[in-house]
Amino acid sequence: MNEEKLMKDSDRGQERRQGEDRRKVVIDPQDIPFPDRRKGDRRKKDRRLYSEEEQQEILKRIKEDKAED
Amino acid sequence: MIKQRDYSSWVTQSPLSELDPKKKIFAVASGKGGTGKSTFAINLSLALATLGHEVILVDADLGGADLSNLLSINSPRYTMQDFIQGEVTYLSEVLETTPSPNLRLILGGSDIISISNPYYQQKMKLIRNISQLEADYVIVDLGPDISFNNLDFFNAAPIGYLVTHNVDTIIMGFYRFLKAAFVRRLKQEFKDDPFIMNIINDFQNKGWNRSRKNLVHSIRAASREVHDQLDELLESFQPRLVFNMVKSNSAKQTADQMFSFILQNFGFRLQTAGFLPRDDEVEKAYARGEPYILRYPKGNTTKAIFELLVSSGLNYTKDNRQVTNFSGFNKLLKIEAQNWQFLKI
Repeated sequence: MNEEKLMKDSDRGQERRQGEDRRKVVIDPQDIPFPDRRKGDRRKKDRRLYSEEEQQEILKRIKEDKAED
Repeated sequence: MIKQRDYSSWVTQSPLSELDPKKKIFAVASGKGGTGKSTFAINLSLALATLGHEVILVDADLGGADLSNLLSINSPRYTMQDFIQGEVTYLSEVLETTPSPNLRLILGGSDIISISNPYYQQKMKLIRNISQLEADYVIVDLGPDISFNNLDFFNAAPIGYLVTHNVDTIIMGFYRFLKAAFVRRLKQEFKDDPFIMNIINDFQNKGWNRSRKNLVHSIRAASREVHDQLDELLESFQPRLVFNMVKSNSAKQTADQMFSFILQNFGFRLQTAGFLPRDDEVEKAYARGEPYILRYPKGNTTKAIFELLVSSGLNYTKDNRQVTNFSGFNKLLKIEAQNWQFLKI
């Protein structure tokens, strides 16, 4: 790596160190217009195509009919 | 051979005679693997080809294409992969002939993973090209999963067949596919209406369980215009159920229950197209890579396929002669079978 590039990299690092540490900035989830991934909101979503309730309803009806058959 | 009962009185489908002659495209899906979807697609294609119609059978199971194996066609010159990758310009260039002069195939290529997941534009190009194929009938055999590819191919076809068995897991797989296809169809229909899209997305985000009766009611309540648009969609969205491996009367009950459940919860009509019996001969033909309907022209499943043609008004030859009885159809099958040399061995 040449000397010019080393200087450039270290200058940029210097600027960054002088600024505020972004890792400490607290964001209120209410202020963001999308689900906060860090809170696991997206993971909490029910993404199943059908619920147990639906499954029971469908299969129960069918089994009742089979029993009568 | 065990004498099979006649299932024709169980069928509830409406005839396809009013279908746009330029759009006789049938998609065959299931929502679960191993239901006999490809076997049904092959038999339906050969039945129509036997009646003298030009048929193209498309293997659109992009990640697991196997129609060539089922028909013992080795080393195809081209596959759909060549079209997707731009090796050829038109889909019609990858058509493969079969021993049946009226049946041609478009085989899928499954040895490259990228073909299983085409880009949206590639998929739309494929759908557009399938609809432009020149044939009397185009039968599209889909994959078993609920990927967007399968849902979009299914919704793009004017007629969609869903093949199922009377087994809990397969019924739920079929229901899952049907529900996903319906909600995707709703989204396509109302994609330019942010208010309706919000309703659909809200239901999905709160759990698909809620995307039942209330979804259709909420959309209908939006405005008079939307109400009419939805009714039109519900009228046109009429998938056709094919019960395979039927052993007893309970399949009829299941078909009736599914019809009423779907109508109550989603508002569209699920038609029952046919019941194919449990048949060891189908498994034998499958294992040997032979088309069942030509190997066993008098078989129980062949009879059931003929009944399906009759109930959908497809029992007409190319020159518009009606084939009214099974023995007439049987004679045509025997003539067609002569084209398949390996069947004589």
